[in-house]
Amino acid sequence: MRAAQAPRAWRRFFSLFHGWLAALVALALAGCGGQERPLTDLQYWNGFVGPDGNITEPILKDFESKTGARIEVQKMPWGIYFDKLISAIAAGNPPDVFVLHMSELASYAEMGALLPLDEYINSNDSFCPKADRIQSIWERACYKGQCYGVPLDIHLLGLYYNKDYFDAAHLPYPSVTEPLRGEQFIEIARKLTIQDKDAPTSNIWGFSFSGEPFRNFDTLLWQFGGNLLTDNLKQSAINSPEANKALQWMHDLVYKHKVSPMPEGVDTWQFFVQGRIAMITEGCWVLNGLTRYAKFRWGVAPFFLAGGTRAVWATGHVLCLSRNLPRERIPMALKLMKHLNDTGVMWSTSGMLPTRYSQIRSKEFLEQSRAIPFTSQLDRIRFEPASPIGIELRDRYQQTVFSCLAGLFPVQQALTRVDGQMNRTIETYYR
Amino acid sequence: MTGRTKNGLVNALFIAPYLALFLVWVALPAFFGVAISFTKWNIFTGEIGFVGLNNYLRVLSDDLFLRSLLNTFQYAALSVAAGNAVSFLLACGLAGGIAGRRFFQTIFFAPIILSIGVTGVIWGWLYNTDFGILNYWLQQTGLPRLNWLTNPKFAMISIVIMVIWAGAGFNMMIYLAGLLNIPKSYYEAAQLDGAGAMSRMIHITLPLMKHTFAFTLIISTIGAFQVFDQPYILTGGGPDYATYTYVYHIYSNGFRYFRMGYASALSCLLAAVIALFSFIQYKMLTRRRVDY
Repeated sequence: MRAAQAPRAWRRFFSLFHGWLAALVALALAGCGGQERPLTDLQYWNGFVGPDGNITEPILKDFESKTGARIEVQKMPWGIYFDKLISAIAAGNPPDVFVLHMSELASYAEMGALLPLDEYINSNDSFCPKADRIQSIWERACYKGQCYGVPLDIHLLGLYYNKDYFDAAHLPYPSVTEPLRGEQFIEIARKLTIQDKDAPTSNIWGFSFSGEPFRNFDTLLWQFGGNLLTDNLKQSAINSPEANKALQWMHDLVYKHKVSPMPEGVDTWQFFVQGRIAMITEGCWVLNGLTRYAKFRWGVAPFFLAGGTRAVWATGHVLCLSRNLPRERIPMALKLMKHLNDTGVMWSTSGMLPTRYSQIRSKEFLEQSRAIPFTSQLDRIRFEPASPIGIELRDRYQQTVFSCLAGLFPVQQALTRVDGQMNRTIETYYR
Repeated sequence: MTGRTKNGLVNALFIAPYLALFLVWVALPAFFGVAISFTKWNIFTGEIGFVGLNNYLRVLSDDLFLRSLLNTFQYAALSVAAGNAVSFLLACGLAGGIAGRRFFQTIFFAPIILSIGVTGVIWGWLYNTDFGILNYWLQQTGLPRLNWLTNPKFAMISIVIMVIWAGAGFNMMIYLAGLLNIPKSYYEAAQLDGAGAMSRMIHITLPLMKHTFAFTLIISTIGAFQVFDQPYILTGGGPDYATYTYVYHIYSNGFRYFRMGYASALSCLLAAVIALFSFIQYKMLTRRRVDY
């Protein structure tokens, strides 16, 4: 009886699990087979999940038709993207080409994740003529004198405003090339603010900082003449009178002038779209989102000028190769990088700005009038310091800026506090 | 080979697929994680160096270690207690023979199928100080507005409320199964003896639900100690690190600052804390066996 049961049990076992085991084996084989992709099959990873993602499609199709290559694009939200990218590089199976932000490049380069590209893109002008490169931007793809990437674009902040509200308040629209002065801006924001406690649904804030607060803080800090770190990047410079002025200026908009709500979350631009805010500072990457969703007339102007120095926060997407990328895959990956950089004008319909003079001065680009407020600021763009622990330091002061604007700390106390935190972080790193 | 040995072998083969997956995806990485915690490991280049207990000693000088641990304890205490209370009450309501039980079961369970990303965005809007509907309702009833996510006193509570809304249905189903499993004859006998509703709850329901409580409380506590997505999406760990949880700290160190050795050490410490708490809870909740 038992002898008869055993074969039945075996059969049952295999009938239950044979499909599953086959799937496992297939998965394992697929994983092992990752290295054997033909050289013309390229993987391009990025975080362009917004409207910008659609713009890459014709660009890549064009590349495929010209070269016979096949591109597999992986688009993921940035948060997930970095987790997956790190794992892929660590596993020795990196994508052929991937995108980083300029602010992240130093950390990745310092860790040895990126392939130095000087010999490929700087040895001659065939990749991109040096005279055509907007040097201040291309330099940001370098770290400690070595080039680790090709800039895909540059993006910076601007002042978005609701034209209907300006008309209703009989206010002239801001210039598309000249920034509003600090006092002018506050006066306008005051006139646009409507706060009625009895009818809260009709309330309109004159202004709100949108996105992550550090971008606005950085801009104002530089405008007031301050810096985040000392020149050698080994000490915090945030506890300074200039930083105090910058943070106080932001704080006053909320608590003294009462023209702005406290920053909350990173999607404030959506409340602008709903008509609850009259002006916001946001990046050029929301241009397409606003075009699609805003049911009112809106415009863009340069970021206002609160301090004495013209400055605005900027960053850019950089195309990179992993140090683990097999050498035989490099030529085709470089071709793709060159193509993506060559088609900067087409990519600029995503709202981002090209990184070459010839593109930024081209007729096709200049026809995009909405880009003027951003291109007019290119002479004053500033980048976050290229510190290998820049991301950690930014996390630190972002919390403090946010907490100060939420009314948890007075300005000077917040700065003293974060100065200590940043210096401890730096000391621990360099110890 | 005897029939018994053959059967044993077959039984072993039945668990072999799970065991293989467990070894490959859980045991091996866990072992690897412990090993990494004694090293300085560059995840990109593979360079690795033994640093002894340095990663464990580093927690002493890390101001965010204690902060994140305390935040996690606070979250665990709030979410496990309140979450299970809500789930149990919902289950009691449904087990009491309410009309349309299946409908309500579905309604209460529905939020579980939403991704935490969607839930986080929705609740972020609800909680917004100036534009959120919760403050609008408070104002309409003459109450002051609350800074749900920007006041350190409320921020963690706000996250807990969201988590309860999103997850109470899961434990509710387990409690409901437990409650429906208690024979009605016990309640009928108690009623004949003159026991009131409260008395029946204390002397019949609660003792017989002991093992269900043990299961849900242990599972909820383990989950609570691993909380990450909710504060990551809703508050970014703020304001002033008030919702910065322990796993958030592990994630930041590992995947944002590339300190894999330190992140592994933090993970090992968390595993020890969870094991300790689970053991204590289990012992406390299963001290006496209850049979009727």
